[in-house]
Amino acid sequence: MRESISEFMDRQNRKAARFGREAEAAAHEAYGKSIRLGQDLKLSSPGDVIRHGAQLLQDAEDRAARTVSRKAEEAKAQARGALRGVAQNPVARSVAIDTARKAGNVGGVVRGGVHAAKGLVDGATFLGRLVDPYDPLRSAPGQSAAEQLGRGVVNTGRTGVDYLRKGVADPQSVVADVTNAAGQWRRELDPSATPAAPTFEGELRRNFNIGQNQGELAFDVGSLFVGGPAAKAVKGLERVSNVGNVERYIAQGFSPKAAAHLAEPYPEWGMGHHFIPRRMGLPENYADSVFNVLKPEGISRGDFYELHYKVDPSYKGGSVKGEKWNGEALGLKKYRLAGRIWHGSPPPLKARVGGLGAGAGAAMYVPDDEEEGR
Amino acid sequence: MTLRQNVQFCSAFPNDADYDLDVQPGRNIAEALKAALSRRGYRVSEPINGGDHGWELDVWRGRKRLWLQISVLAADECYLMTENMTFWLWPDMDLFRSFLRDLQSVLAEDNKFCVTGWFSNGASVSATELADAPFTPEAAPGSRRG
Repeated sequence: MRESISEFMDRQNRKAARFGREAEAAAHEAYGKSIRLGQDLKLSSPGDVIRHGAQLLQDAEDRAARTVSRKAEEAKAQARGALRGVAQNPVARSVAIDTARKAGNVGGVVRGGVHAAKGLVDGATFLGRLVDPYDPLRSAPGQSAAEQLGRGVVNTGRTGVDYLRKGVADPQSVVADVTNAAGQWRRELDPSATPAAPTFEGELRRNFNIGQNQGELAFDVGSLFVGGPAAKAVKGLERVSNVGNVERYIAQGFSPKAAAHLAEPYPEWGMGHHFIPRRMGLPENYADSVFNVLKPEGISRGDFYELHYKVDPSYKGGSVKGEKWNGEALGLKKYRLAGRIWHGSPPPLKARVGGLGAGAGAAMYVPDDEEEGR
Repeated sequence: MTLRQNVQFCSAFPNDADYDLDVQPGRNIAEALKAALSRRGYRVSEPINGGDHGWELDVWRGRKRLWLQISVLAADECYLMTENMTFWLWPDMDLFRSFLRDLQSVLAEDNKFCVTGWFSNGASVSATELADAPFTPEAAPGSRRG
């Protein structure tokens, strides 16, 4: 409810009266103190008392503001120091960047959901206007839903026809457009496609933003009614960065030789993880298809083993260049059923089965530290 | 009754992995198990490359199928995981228990194997006390059909 002028004036008067009382009290306290300490403080009129009290209150307020500001600066300096410490340790740096991207992924999934919901609301409003017989009367000339729809269809159609005509005349231009679009897409989604930021904070921000883009794309693809090439193309989402990150695997205790092997990209001929195990006897053309095999593109061997360990109850580990790779010894936790379904199902399967229900995708997002019930 | 259908063991078999082709070790172990189980009357498939998992064998008694997987992490840490692949609505538990007993004998008779212990599906090996046998003696084959 809005405040009337008289209510506003009353409030201001109350405030002034309260301030006056507080100033008077502060001045009296100061006067008492000066008598105790033998100091000479002359407050000859009520005006002097109020003025002196107001000055004292102002000084106290300034002191408090300076203290808060100093504390904030100290906290900032501490945070900067901690960040510098993390930046200097390659393992901690790698973990921090990875964490920033994952945080971005979650944010992106939420952003995708918000955009989708906004689109639905906008769409519902527009449909409501479209079926409303009074909409042309209520709208400005040329702005009714029916007129907007007609203009949109005509414009879209004309653009498509023009583009087709241009493509037939100059096929190379279409190739260039696709390449540009793919390049832009890669820059938005792949941390290795753009140079690292000069500072560690900048690198964290860059990875968080890329993570957000990845998350939103994952949401969008998960929301498709049917799977398709785009769904297939996002198999490698978020898992591109540890290829070549030998330090990460050395930090896990592997020799440089084994660490280098783990940092290589998971090979094309690798079998990947079968969402429905091969032993179940499914027809081979389905069992080994993109709808059943989880094998993210661009993932490192080491990262894939970790993912495989988490999503597959019958995978304990293996041998890497003669060294033991044991998920449990690395401290990994196996997912419960929901986590296995979400993280262990290939994106094309999610997209095909999920449809809008994979909006559930967001709801079903299972954090990485989920532990299997034992 | 707790059925422990997986076993941790060490092996004296040489490492036969091909790391360049991402082939895990254990094919020689699968061959040895195939020979030993065949002698006990099972029909056993050729070793199947299970990718990162290691090697697998399909094992039949009549038309009923069982499955086992060999994963070699190192000579001192290998795993045999088994699964009853008989019809899921009426799984033949007698057959499965009999198979586990046979497997126990095979591992005990070949001095290239040294069993560390048996454990259940879903159990954490480091957090579980490994057992000497796949099930307790009173739950031997024929005592109950699961």
